[in-house]
Amino acid sequence: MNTLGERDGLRNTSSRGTRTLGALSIVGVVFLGLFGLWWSPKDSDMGDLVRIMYVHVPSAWIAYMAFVITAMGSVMFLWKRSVWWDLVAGASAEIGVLFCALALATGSLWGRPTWGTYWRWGDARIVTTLVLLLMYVGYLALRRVDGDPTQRSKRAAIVGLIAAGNIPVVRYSVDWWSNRTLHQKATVGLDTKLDNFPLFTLMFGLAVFTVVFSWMLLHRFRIAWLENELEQGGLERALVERRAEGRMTADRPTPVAEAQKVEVRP
Amino acid sequence: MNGLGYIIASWTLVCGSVAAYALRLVQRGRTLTRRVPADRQRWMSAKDDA
Repeated sequence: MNTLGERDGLRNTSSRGTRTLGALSIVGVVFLGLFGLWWSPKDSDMGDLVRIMYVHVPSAWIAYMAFVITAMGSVMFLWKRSVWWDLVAGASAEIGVLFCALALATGSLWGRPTWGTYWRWGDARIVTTLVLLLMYVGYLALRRVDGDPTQRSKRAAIVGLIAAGNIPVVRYSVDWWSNRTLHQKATVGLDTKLDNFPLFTLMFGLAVFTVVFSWMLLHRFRIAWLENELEQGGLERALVERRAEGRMTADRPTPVAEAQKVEVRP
Repeated sequence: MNGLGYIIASWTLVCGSVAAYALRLVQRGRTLTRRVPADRQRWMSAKDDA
């Protein structure tokens, strides 16, 4: 089969689609930097610290989106038993973990000058987000456990679904435990208090991060596909070697057969 | 600009992490495509990409 790698003389996981997404991502991040750090004015409520929101909120958004895709992939795997969906789920979870960790880190960096602390264990939003992160770290660890690939995928899918149950808890923690959090209500919503330009920059950041996520997901999925092919190839080779060994053992005369041969000689 | 250090730290952390992860993906992809036979890279077929 003709592959892009052969056609273009390249040997990598890129394609025309991912190259377009990659170029859009770079341009988008450059403009987000210009909007977020220079062109956008201070927010009337948060002041200059709103500039941290332009990377914090999109990071959290991508983490949610990635984990929802993992949950969808898990459902589809359990339903269709398709390796494709299992790989999508795993690829998305890894990216989700990265962005969830970034959301926590940038949240801490925003919290220090705003609330006077990097971290507060009693805060419902912070703690539920940390639990979400740890659940998906566990999910990724489970995917690396040796053993039967189908069983492993099945277990991972179940854990991926259980972990997804925490997403609405994180999202609504500021409403459900409003007396146990330093967080304001949702930054983006019908009652958003951001000024127009900062709100535009925030929305632009969400769009740019979504493009970056799409690029990452495509590449990560293709890597997962190749890893799976290598693993399957290894299993097939091991099976062929085992069969060859079995044939050699069957062809080799046993001592009893040798003795019988001796007995039947005239 | 108030909180400049925190703002720079946040942006550096996010942009640096995203760039590092993206580079790792590209490098890992290059390594794996060399190891997997072309006929097993079905997602890369010209037909699929159209």
